Amino acid sequence: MRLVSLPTNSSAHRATVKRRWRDGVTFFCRSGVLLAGLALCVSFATAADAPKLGITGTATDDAVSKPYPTALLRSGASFMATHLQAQQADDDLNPGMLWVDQGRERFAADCAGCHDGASQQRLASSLPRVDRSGAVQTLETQINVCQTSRLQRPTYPIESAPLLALSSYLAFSARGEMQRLSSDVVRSNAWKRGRDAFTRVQGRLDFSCAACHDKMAGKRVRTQAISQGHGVGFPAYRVEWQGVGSLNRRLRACYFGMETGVPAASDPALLDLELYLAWRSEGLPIEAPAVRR
Amino acid sequence: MADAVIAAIPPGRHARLIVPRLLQRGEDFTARLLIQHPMETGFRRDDTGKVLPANVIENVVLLFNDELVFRGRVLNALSANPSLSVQLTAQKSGTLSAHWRDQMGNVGSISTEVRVAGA
Ligand code: HEC
Repeated sequence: MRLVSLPTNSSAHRATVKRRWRDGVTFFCRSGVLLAGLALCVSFATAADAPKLGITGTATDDAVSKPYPTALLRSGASFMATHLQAQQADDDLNPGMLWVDQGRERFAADCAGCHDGASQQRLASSLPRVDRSGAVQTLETQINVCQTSRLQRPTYPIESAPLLALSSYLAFSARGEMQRLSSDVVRSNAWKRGRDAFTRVQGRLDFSCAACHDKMAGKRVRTQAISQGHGVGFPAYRVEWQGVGSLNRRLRACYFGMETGVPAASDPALLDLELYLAWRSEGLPIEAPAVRR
Repeated sequence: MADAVIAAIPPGRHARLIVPRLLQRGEDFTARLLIQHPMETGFRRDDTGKVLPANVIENVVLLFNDELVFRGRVLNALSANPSLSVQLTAQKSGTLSAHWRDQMGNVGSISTEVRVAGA
């Protein structure tokens, strides 16, 4: 059974991809980075096979199997260079803790009236959830729901400093808790849309998320190690961003790499994807704020 | 990415200064300072192509009970949100404070208590 549809591919487009592929190989061979070149070739080869792989079963099956069984789950940190792992592990060196501190202050001022310590601790590990209207609530959208419905205030803009501070603090509070969603998420339309977005081949380079994160984990794309693509470290401090950013921003960065055109931050399709990713990561502990390249 | 506001780091707004909880007299220890600061080099441009003006932290000092124990000139080879470790020796309990100033004149400071057993 085909779960995803391939975009129409003109022969001209294929020629461009081939040319890029050849340019890529000569470039890398010339510069002596043969291995990186090979990894690049392999990624193009597997991208075409990706739709058949990865997901088995359908959303109506009772047991939907995951790309990674629990025993094989590896957090993104284990794919990073050792100095970044060390920086993540040490709260005195982890710059993400600056955001956590600010979130703690804001939480005490704005949120502690309703939330006691215990309820806040598990919150982040059980999100995203699907609400009664079928909409996905992530940590960030949930914070904004409270802003409007409980505090009667305007919502925080996506990636704004106060929202990142609060989400970093709440994710940090759930650190060590296993990612676990409500068991019926797999029956939601949002989950199905998220799964389809993850496995669909898209963009000028014929990639799907699964082609990299299900099939190529542990290999490299150019100089970057590819992880299994779990969101449990987010909000995370990325060296490239020189700051903390949300999972939403990370996903847009992956779309940028896939040359699909980058979706707007407010695109609900990104929320579906976050739901699917969290389901896929169930059994990994929350490790925010992670430190990434 | 048009509708996302990428959080600008307010210069000198926030920092952490960490020392061990309890020290023995004569013990060497590391004071760790982490400052939230963009350390803008002046070589970057924003999404509209405008050059982001250089603004890095220039001076950092550490005072122990208002006495100078460390003075550093920090330049733009440092990353954003720099972390600084300073080796000190514990003689008596007191207040350790860090103070810094960037090129735009923003100042920041943070202090913490150093506790030395029996002193
Ligand atoms: C060309 C390969 C490639 C494709 C395709 C790709 N990514 Fe990524 N992705 C990466 C790389 C490289 C990183 C950074 C290193 C890593 O994997 O953590 C990354 C990081 C991530 C992370 C953060 C992991 C962590 O622990 O920090 C997530 C989540 C993620 N990708 C999800 C996706 C999703 C969802 C898609 C599809 C929209 C996608 N990726 C498509 C290469 C890819």
